[in-house]
Amino acid sequence: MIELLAKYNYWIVIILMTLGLYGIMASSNLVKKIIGLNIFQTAALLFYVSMSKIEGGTAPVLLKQANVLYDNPLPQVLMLTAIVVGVSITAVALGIVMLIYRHYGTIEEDLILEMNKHND
Amino acid sequence: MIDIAIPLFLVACGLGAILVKDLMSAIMIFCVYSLAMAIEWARLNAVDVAITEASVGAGISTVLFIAVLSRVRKRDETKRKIHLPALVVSIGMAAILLYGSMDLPNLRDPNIPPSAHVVPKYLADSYEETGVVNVVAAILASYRGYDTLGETVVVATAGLCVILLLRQVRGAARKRTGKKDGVAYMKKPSQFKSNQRELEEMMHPDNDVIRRTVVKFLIPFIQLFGLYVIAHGELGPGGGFQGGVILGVSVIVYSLVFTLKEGEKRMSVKMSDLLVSKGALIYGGIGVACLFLGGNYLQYNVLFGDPKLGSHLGILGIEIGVGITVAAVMITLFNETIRRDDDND
Repeated sequence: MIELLAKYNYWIVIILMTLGLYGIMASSNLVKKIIGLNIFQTAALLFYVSMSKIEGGTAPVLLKQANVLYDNPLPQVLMLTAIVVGVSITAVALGIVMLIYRHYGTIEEDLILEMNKHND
Repeated sequence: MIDIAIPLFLVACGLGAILVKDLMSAIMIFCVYSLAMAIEWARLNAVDVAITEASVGAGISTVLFIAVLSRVRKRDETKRKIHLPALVVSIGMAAILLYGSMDLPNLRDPNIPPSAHVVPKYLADSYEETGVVNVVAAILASYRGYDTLGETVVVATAGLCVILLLRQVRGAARKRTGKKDGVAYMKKPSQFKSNQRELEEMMHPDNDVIRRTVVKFLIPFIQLFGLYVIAHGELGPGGGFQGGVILGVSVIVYSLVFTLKEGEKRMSVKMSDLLVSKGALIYGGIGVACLFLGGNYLQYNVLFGDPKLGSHLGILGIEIGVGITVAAVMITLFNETIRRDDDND
């Protein structure tokens, strides 16, 4: 079990990153692209937080008794703030999508590119 | 066993969110994905991250996506079934990463390099140096206080960006519609109008007594919980980011159920705009106060006579600052995406 788990989360991270990257590149719908971006981001978060877990460790909130094995708090701190920054990025991206929709009447990337071609 | 099952479920949800054509379904699947991710964080003992993910990923993100979706077309109209170049590039990246992961250290190993260097010092000395039981909060507020100040400013900047993007154009559009020739840019596709009507019905104030009553009962408890999470960040999981999001959600829920107009009577645009910057100002101000009292920037233990008390109150102060900024930004993000042009006057 432990041998399997030793690399397991790395594989999951890789699969999720691939999915996210494919979503960003393949779908021409801008909202779907943002969902892909979010999946890519959570994959990166999972990579860091997986590194913080130690077999037999407990959450890094100090206990009274001595000699307790704690998980690594540092990746957790970094990823906690990254999540909040991530939602800010999503919000700005969605704001831009709304402006694009107002301007072009569509959020399909290929249609927008075609319209721009005609305008030139 | 569950450590194997949850990541598999994550992959399934991710696949669904990417492949499904209906945007509403994609967003709902992504919401489930975030919730499963929160459970995975809890399984990895990252309790603070779990609270943040549950409130931000599954809560605010979904609300923002749906707010945008109420304005745009609801289907992904990508024509190609499989995008071959994208597939090749992503599989290539996966192969490279897989090759790289062979050299990475085994997870769950106590001697893994990430926990070998600065972390033992944090775990051993943080209580002595900061007086905070939750090591995550100690690192967030004290050891990496500059970092967190930066993050808070980034969040505030995102709020400002959304205000500038959506509010400014709205003002320009209003001026333009006054003229005759400027209307072209504002012409609304018919789809847009029908979606608007749907949203109006969805947000109509009189249509559901149960929802209004329940929300009225719930909001004080949500706010109390938000304040508890901010104040309790030193002792257990929680802190400014998480509590701020929960506080913001309480106002957002009110606006969702009682319409934006009613919501803005309770929390005016001016107020939330001010609070966006006030939170960061409190954070930076505490740092400056430390400077004046003879310490370094954000060195809390000089704040009061007793160093323990000083670092306690200093950390609580910056958590409150972070909470204010995050709550105000969340409210602003929601208000600006949901507001319609005719609401503006």
